[in-house]
Amino acid sequence: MQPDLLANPAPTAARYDELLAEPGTPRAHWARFHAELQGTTGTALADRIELVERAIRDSGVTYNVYADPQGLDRPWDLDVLPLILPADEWDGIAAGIMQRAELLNSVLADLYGAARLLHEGQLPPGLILGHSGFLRAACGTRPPGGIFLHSYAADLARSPDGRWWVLADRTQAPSGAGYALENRLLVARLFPELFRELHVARISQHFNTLRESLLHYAPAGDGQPLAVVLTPGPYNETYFEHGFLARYMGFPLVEGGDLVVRDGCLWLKTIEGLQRVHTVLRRQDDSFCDPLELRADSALGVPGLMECARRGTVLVANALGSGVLESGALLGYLPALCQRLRGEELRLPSIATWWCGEPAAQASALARIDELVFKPTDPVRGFEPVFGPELSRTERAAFAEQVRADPGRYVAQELVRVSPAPTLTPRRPDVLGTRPIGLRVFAVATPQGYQGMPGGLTRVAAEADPYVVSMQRGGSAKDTWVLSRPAAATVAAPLPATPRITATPQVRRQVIIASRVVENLFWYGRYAERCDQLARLLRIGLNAAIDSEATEAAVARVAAAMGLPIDREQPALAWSDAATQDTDAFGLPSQLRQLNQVAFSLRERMSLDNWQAVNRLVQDPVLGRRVSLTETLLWIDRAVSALMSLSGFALDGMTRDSGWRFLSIGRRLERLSTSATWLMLALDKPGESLGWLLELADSSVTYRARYTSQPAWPSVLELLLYDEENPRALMFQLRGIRDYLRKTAHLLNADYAAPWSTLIDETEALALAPGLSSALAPQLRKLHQYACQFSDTLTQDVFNHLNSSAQALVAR
Amino acid sequence: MSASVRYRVVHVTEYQYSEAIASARHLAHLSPRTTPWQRVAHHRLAIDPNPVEYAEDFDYFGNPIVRFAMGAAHQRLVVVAESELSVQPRAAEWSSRLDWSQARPASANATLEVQQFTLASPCVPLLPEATAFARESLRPGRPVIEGLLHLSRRIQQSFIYDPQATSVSASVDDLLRSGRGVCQDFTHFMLSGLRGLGLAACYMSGYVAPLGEAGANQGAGASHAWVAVFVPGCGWVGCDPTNGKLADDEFITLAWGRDFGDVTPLRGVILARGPQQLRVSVQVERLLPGREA
Repeated sequence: MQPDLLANPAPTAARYDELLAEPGTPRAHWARFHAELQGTTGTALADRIELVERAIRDSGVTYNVYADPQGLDRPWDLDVLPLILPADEWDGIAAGIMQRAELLNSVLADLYGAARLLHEGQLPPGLILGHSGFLRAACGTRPPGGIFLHSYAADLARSPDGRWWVLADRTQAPSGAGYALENRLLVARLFPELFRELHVARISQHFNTLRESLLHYAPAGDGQPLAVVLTPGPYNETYFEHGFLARYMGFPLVEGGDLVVRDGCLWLKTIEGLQRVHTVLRRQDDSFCDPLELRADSALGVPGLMECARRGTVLVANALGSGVLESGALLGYLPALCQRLRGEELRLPSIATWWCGEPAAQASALARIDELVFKPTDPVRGFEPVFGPELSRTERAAFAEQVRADPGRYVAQELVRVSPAPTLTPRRPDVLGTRPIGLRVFAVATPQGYQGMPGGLTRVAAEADPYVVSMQRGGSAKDTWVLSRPAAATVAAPLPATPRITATPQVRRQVIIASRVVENLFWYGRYAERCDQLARLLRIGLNAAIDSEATEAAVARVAAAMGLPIDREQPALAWSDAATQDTDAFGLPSQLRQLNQVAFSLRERMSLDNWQAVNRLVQDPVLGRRVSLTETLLWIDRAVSALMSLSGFALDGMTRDSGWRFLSIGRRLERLSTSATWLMLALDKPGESLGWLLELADSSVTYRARYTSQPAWPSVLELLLYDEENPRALMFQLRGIRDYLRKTAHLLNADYAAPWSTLIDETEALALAPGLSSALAPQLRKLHQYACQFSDTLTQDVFNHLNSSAQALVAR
Repeated sequence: MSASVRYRVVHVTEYQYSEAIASARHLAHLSPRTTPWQRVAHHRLAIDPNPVEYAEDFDYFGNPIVRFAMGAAHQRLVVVAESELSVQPRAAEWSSRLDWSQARPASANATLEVQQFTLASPCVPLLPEATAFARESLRPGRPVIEGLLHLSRRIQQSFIYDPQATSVSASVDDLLRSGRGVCQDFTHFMLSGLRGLGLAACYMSGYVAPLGEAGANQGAGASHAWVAVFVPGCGWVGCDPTNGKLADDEFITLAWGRDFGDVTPLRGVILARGPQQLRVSVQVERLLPGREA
């Protein structure tokens, strides 16, 4: 099946078709791509789509939608066909957004400085002074270098005449650039030859520039500045991107609770003490950034951050207070402001917009109510956009009344018949569709001026919505290809050269880990180990349910001790359910999910491969389904080997820093407490076969190699309890825990290693006693209990301060 | 000019925490503002235990503020603000016969500083109910001062003053629903009505003398709040909807802003798990006329 691109609905004058110049003829900059597609079979395209979908699932690219019935994380929906823009068109857009970013920066400098624009009436005072985004606490602040906007984005749409218009400015914490890069990594892999041949401009430089710029403007400090990415946490819709950016730029990803203000400076709480923070790339709204001076009900902020920003001891990007510019109400004033502040024309025009707070604007807007969309001026008094054309005559009259009663709340905007672009979606891999698109473009501040990212995030409307292009509303995304000029021409292009930011000395610094991350690593270690043991247990139980009743009964006792009772009537089904069904909190699916959640919060610390291994586990098609015993066994095998590879990553892929040590302590504590339980249970019935115990401890092979006889207690104890060299033996865990605690002693305020030394000595003494000592069981119980207790101790003494939440106090 | 009145104020805020708090940051609007009608002779802010950081500053509205941070573990915080000040009576200047509608900044070509107080603010949404209520008093053609006094009295009579009724986070809606509230709620309601009519009105935070010319004042044992309305020719005219009167020399000003959120006497953020107990006491004492006043 050959898709026929030209079978698209014929372009009409009502819209600008991105692909076709006229029926049957692609635009020049699409010609090469189009020819390639025409020569590709439908199956090949379907394969590519599948490849992309799998890559997205594996790497866990998500966009969270609040209250999404499909669950917290919605997989990123990417269309495999890029949007293509020719070089000269991009040059126009780039020049436009650079000018706009500079203009908006000057507007902020004025509003938070002398406020001339308000005094002169260039901007209506009511619009700014009444807007929740205008932060009085930020007045008088002059950020480093006078830069309020470090990262800027604009939402563009193309009108039927082919011109691009700005629909909205994103000035607080623009999202999307990280997704754009992720899109690029995926799509460039699908069309590698075309990508090279068309000289598609690279976008990754944007992130290096942002990184260097943030460090360049950081307030002077001792040594190399430390920058962090501040996230509201895993429940934010773009949390994936926060981790992505943090990892890409090598900045720690932190939450408000990880930071603290002392002596007018900002610090990161790390397990090694407080580390001064010089730059915060914030990904949360500014009003949530400081519960002391801004919104008191915010649990996400850092009390005192506003004060640090005012003093200039920390660079907050974008500056606190920049959200006021996101009000659509400003769009209508920008042409005049551009003349006033820069003495030039606004290059990239905004779509016609009126703030109804001005009587004349209100009148013009209400006169054309059926042609406009109405949006909120201020998000704190928000509402869903009202589309004039969708209103009936009576609804229109009622709405006009509403506007007249509180005009300042409304912004009216012209509706654009946005341009359609070709799409190839997973739902219809064999047919080319066409959907309206919007383009989000990005710019970053550098000492040489703003620099645009040559590309962007193309957003594709959900089918039903001709006007709205929104990821929140269920649209998808596209990669954006800006075609470069041939090499010679690039030099002459009017784009500013890549900025040469004064190089910061390349001093290698210690990797900085927030205390919260250390705690998460500890739990990651515990969960990974727990899942591993559980999967092995289920495998033995299920196998035994098929062929060995005695073993099955013994393993069922172990399962019960691990909180997982096995139904004695139908053991095979019970074991199988524990492996696949999500009904029991101690079953494998739910334990894997817990592991996945902790891993999610550690994403920026993990390699992509590691994360993919974690992520595949919870997405296995078997989960939640009742499948044959064979399929269940195959699934458990997959799980065991994936979990093995996780411990491989931990052993082979992580630096031995204090974070790694706590991960290992978590892993070993878990292994110690469960292994001790198994031995105790086996000791309860000393006459029974010990084969299951060895298998559970993954030590059957070692046993057979070492001892020729059938498993017997003395040799089993030797191997599983006393052997310092067997990574499954209790003694191995005990020594490991003690050694890691000694290595982290400088971080801890008590000697946590000493009790472990005592436990080691006591356990070693047992080895000298002949036969099955009566002291054995009590010692195992002691080890088990101490392991559990020590986990609590660590939580309370070492991680504890993190569990308190910030409470706002208000006294009148 | 009539003689000023001298006061001594002691405002004690005490927090008892359910556990030791290792660190905390606070922002206080507890130091009286110097104004054309109010002179601060003496002021002291005592914080126990000793804060590790302490800085005096002014906020956006020009109110004196103190920022402080606690460093060592503490289970109790006591902040004592002690002031001696004198207040000049102004009611004699508030004799304007200006039609209230002429007092609106839109028609008075007012400065930005005044204009901002015509707008809704976080604790003062412009409620149609409040505007309708205010319109009853500010009838067409009525002189502004007369109308404000009328409105203050009607609010006093229409709602029940009840310190148990609301919390610091109560909204204007809560007052309308329950009919009960404290000075903060009465003030927010009046602000909502006045701003809805286009007048510039700000939130005044401070204290009221226990005994006034017309008898005991409500709200003297705690910090107090009232409204000030911008009247061209008179400046800011105080009116107290809790006591149904103009706010003159029986009122001591700490700070002003758009609403309670701008001038909260003591704000703070602590890291804690448990709840905490708060005790506030205010003593306002009228001093005998002294030579230095």
